[in-house]
Amino acid sequence: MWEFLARRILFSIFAIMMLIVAVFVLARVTGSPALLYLPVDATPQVIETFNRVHGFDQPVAVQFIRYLDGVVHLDFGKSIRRDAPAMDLVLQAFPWTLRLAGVTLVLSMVVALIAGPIAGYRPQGLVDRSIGTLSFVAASSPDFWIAIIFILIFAVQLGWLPTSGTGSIQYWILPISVLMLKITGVTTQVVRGSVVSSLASPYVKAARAKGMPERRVVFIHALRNSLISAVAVAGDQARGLINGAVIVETIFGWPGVGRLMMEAITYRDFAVLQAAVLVTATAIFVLNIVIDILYAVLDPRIRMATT
Amino acid sequence: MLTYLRRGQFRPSTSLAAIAVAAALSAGLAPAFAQTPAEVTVVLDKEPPTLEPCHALQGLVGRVVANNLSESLLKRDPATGELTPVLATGWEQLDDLTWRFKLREGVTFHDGSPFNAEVAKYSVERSLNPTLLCETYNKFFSGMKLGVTAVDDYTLDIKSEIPDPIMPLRMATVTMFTKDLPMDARVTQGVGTGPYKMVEWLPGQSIVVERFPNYWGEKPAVEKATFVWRSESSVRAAMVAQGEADLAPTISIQDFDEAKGASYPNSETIRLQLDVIMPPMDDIRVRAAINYAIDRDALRGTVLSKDSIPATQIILPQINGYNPDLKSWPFNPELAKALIEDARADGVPVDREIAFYGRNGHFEGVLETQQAITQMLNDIGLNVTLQMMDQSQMGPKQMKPFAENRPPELIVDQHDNNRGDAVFSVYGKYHSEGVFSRTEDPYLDFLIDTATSQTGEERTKTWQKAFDRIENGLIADAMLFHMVGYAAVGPRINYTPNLATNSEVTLSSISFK
Repeated sequence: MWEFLARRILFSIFAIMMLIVAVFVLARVTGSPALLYLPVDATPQVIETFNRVHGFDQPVAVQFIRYLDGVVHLDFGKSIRRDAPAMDLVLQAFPWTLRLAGVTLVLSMVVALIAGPIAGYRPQGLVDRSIGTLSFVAASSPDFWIAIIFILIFAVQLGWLPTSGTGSIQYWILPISVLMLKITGVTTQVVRGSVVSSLASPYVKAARAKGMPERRVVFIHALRNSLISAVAVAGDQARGLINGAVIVETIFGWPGVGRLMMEAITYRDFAVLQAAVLVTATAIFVLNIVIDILYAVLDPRIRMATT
Repeated sequence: MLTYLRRGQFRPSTSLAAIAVAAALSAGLAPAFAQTPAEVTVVLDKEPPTLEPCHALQGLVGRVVANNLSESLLKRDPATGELTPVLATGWEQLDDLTWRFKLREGVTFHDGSPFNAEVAKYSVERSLNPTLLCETYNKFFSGMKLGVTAVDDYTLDIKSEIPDPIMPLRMATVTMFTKDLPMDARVTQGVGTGPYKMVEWLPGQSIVVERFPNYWGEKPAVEKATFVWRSESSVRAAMVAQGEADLAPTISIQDFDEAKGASYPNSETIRLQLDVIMPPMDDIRVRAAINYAIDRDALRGTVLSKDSIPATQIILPQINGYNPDLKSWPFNPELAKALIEDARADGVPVDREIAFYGRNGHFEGVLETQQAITQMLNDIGLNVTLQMMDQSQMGPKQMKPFAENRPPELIVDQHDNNRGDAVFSVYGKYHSEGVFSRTEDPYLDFLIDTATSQTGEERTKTWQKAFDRIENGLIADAMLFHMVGYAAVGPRINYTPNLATNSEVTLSSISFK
């Protein structure tokens, strides 16, 4: 197992290094920030000063070496737009996204681990069909649309929740609900499928033959076997949460790294973009490792096979 | 396997009911938006990137800073266009090159330090430091060198290298701040003299300001204000509708409710810039035909707001130099076709493909507007192809040097001038040396150069002649509309948006019902 983990860590480090190069190159392909930051009729002298002050007058190779040096020292330079160190901005925003994603992930797992077995208990029954339809709709609805619809229903029409922003627990409900929908829908379907096949397996029949209560058969024996696939799909969905966070944070005014990244792309704020991508990629890399460890904890076969 | 299920052992409906109860409980939490009577919340579309006072001219910064936290020596009244005193009580021209400003006495900054001529001198010099790239410098002083002298505690002289009749107007764009701001580095916050002082800025969340007790002027009604930001117009409108915010200065037309807000000219004007250098648009008949071919009335209320105003020139009536005698082109496709045929008969290549460029997201309805205009122009016999692009691609096409092997180009241009004088629009767009200009007309250059050096009524009249020359003599473009913005205003407050609302939200102009 440790060898497997070491391989995964090495692979992730290599992937991050590729990403470091890619984000530098791709950011610069979008064009010069001067066109965005200066008035459209800025004089050539003003444009020249802007490029000099921000180091864009240097050859790309020199900019790249400076950038790599910054990466090594975790210093990505100053945000052009905000006149503040890029890494500070990212580290300020990142906990907001982490909390949002963490709570979403836990809640959606809880819901999926309840709804999945309920649906899988009687395949094609009314409950299964209802949960199936709901989770299909949830998994395929665009975040953007859902967010606006939820605001209109729960904030504007019913007046139960604030439209957006941060503050007490009420402010968390709408963004988390929107983020949860897709991940819960997909995970529920995976758990359901896994429970259906588990319930038909010999070990479940044996458990029932011994007179074990149904609740225990479903939620202990069948569900435990479904946990591995649930963790696999939830891990995969967690990576997608970052994409969802960009949209949800932008709409709900959530001060997270998704919104910061969106802003950095829009305004060609290279330093912030580079720092945000690196921090996010590192978080995903850590998440992958945690998922790998969880696999091993949940499935003795993996532990046995890799030790 | 269902035969193994015993009654009461496992009931899905029990779990579902539990979920439903939990959902109902969580949904039942009614939000509380506590605001004391004299507090307001303003929801903007974006967070200001900085509150550097020398950037106050930048819309995102100005909405919080301008005339709230920081003030200038004077300001332009958006309704009348007149300059009014703020930190200067009077100003006069001493000679061709020198302007004198008498400063207000008894003014203190938010940190308690006094405002005087030395501080004003420092503010001007720092704002005009080329390496700082302040918005004021970039827009209004680029290339200018000024001598600033503190004559005494409350007298400031400003001397330019060449005569500048609109120096007071330029000075209305320079904010005053304390001397502890570094001369060679920008800051994220400054200390001003405005009616409000900073309380806290929670990055990504909100900015809170409160009334400055030692403000030199009239005490405003709003005691405390919170600025928040949401990028979605529908969310901003919903916040005002729900009482979470009192004012959303900019929302989309589809989120606008006339009973709960107001529309206002947002100082933007759109036009088609014609490539008067390249055939077939180097022929004035083709340019006239383009103007006759556009059904402006059909665009209003359909693809563009019904409140947009047909434009006859690139500035609004509130700006010095506006020519009220110019008339909008009537829609006359038959005459347009006849002009095209006439040009064709004389060998003008009217069938040549014209590239019609537009910018994605430039303004609401931009794509639909350009699609409609493309159809209108093709209907009269031109060969127009629409291409939408991003700002980074569009920018170089609009500026000199223009590519020599380009196709004839039609460009949708949107221009904003709320600074009081035509010079900020006309030189760059129409003078033969203007960076965006495709016109090379000695008479127009003469009018522009003359107006630039004049003052008062003479200046206004010369600008009016210049606009007549542009629109009737040269037909250098096809003017479209003065655009409008929409604001959502909550039921607790009185606020009337104006020409400056796009760039500043003056809290002291808000009162309570």
